[in-house]
Amino acid sequence: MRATTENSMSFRSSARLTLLVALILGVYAGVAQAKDGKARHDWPSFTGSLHADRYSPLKQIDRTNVGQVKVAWRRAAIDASVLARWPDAVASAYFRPTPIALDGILYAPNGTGLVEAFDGATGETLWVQQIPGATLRDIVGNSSRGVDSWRKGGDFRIFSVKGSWLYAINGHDGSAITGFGDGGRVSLRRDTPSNLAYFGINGPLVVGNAIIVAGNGGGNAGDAGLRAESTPEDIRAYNVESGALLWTFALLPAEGQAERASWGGDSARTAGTMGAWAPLSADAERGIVYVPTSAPVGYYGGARPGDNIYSNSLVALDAKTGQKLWYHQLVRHDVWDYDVASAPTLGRITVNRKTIDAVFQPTKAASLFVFDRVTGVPVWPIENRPVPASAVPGEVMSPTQPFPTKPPPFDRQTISEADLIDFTPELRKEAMGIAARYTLGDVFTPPALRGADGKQGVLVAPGAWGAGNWNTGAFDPETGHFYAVSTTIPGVYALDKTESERSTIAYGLLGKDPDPPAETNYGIGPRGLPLLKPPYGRITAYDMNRGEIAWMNANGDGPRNHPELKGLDLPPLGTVGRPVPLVTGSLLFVGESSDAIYGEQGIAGPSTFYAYDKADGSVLARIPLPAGQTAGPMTYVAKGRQYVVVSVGARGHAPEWIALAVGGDAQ
Amino acid sequence: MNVGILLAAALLAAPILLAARNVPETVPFSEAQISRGAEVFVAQCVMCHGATGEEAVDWGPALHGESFWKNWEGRPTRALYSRIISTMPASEPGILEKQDVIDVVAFLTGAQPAGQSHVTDPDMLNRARLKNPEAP
Repeated sequence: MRATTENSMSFRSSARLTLLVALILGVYAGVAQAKDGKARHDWPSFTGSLHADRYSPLKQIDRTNVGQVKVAWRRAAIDASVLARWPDAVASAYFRPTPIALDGILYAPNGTGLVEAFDGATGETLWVQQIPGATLRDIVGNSSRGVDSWRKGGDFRIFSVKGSWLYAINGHDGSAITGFGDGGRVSLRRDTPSNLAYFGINGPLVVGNAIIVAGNGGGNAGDAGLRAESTPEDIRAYNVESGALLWTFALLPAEGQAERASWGGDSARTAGTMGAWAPLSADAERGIVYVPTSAPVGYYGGARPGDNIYSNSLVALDAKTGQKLWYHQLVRHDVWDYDVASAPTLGRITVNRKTIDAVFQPTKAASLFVFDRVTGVPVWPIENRPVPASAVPGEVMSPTQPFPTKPPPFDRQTISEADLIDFTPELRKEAMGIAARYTLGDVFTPPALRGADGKQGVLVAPGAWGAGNWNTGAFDPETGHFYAVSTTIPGVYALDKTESERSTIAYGLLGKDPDPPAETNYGIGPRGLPLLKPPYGRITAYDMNRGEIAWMNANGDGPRNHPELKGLDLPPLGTVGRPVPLVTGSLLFVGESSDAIYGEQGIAGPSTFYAYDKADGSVLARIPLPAGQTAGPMTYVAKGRQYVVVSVGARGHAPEWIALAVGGDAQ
Repeated sequence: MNVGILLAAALLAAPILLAARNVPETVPFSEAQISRGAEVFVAQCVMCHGATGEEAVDWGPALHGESFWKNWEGRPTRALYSRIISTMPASEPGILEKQDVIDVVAFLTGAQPAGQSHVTDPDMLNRARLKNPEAP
């Protein structure tokens, strides 16, 4: 309790003091005002805000001092108190959580998904989530990408998804909100005969009184795509106070809905592994939640003829009712695993003098779709362009796929011989030999049977890893720039007939190439190098008021120091992986992602966290980190000082959070 | 491949994985325990890690060979147990029973010729260190 004299201070003097403190803090911390008038010292959502913009107006760390940032504190992925009680608890090296920051306190799932609260200025523990009667099974698991919060008077809650549970946690002390669901948690297992487990890695999203939960889908099907029988992970909403189910939006259209006809034959009974595993976003004022959905199952779609709605779509839902407001399917009848895998980012733009509240949706296929987020009307026309048909028996492709006329794609959508690596004549020759084994295809060229036309399938850019992914976007409301971070990894699509009795899809990617070329982080290529010309990881900055590319940079050195390239004095070639952008009042931060991210992409050793001039992409600072990033960086102010926190981990480096700041002691 | 073929492949691979080398500080897992570990591996791990752990069918890292052992060589055997019971299977970590995890550790790391130990308590793994059975 504060002293009586302080409590009895007059309103006028209290208000004056508040104003004075705010002014001092504002000047001292370099805190900018966002355009909506709200100061943002916080990082209220793990994607920056409900808009999934990964933006903060903070600029205490700016171009003049970013070169002096040092490590302010480090924090292990699991609090010591957890390890003392549960010594077998281990954090996966793929350390997904990005903390949220509220009033200088950070909240995040730890390395096993238990929520921890810690001091933003020191990294010291304030509390760890308590689960009454917990067993090891409750403690272990994977971390999600983050948590969300809700406050009503003194009732302050943190919501987190861990395993098959949605938890409500007292934000003051980490205890369970026992009035929520069953003793503080709600089961997310699905209403199927086998009580199928929930599988998701995203955090929940709180919009009004609804906690929105989406998941990966599949029902343990994985991405191998050999079984047609799978259960979509429908979008669900729960009441913030009681945990009661508010609504469900079925990704496989119910009988009676017009979209059901997009699942031909009997396929609607079985097919559809769809989920929404990329971060969601929301327009809280309008009560709209934006859902990016993933692909249907399999690389062969003969058993699911049709467009397969709502796969590969951006769906806008009424957050109160779950009713669909509008949707656009961005890939029809997907056989490439082109999930809509990036968060739909919201931002206000001005196009031809008209102000538009827009949603920007990057795709794995390297397109950036832009819609009026209220009406769903494309800001720039979308063309349905002819794409190749399939020669695989029983496969009927959509004759067209949607392409935005603006803005241009942010990564490769074509491959030709002219695109093959040519750093040296020898590399070029080997690349030609490798490429000759495949039919080179533009985006949306369908998979081919192995051996057809004497080839080992088709080689398509982008491949299943996508150009865009969960890490891709950030939006700067100050400049109208959208930053798309992408990776260039072409994919081989060669279908073999399945033979296993477990396989219920006739063809799959079984990798039966009798003489496969060597594969590295960059996909197939000569001598451990990529097959295509650089860049391999890039940042594309768009002027969204014009729908044009403002600048494009390679992000990271990539293979420029490879022994085969010795003496060539190459510029940065770009590193593959899932680096996540953070845009602030003055800077754009993008790091390099680690080898912990599945597929052995990313780097194994120390990494660089780059600070770019957000206006032109020039490098202002290279900040060394002990390992690559595994989650999005975030920023906030605690005790008047701006921090940038990065989640790092690698197969050879224990995961941890690292806080960077200007001044103070280096560690 | 059906489950039977996968199981056969895993069982056939066990002797290959476990080259003829017996290192005192490793746990001398019994042949029966290694075999049971192969069964658990087929049921729980193959989907992501491949039939013998040598290749990733989906997105699990290899559990054999250089890329595996460069991160695990010399570490406590308990650490591998902890990693598996804490993070696997990726779709639903924590569902594996202790005995299943110990058996999988036996399958992945046990040496040949097999020993006589049938480990039932993870604490028995605490003092042992992992050693690549194929290392020279």
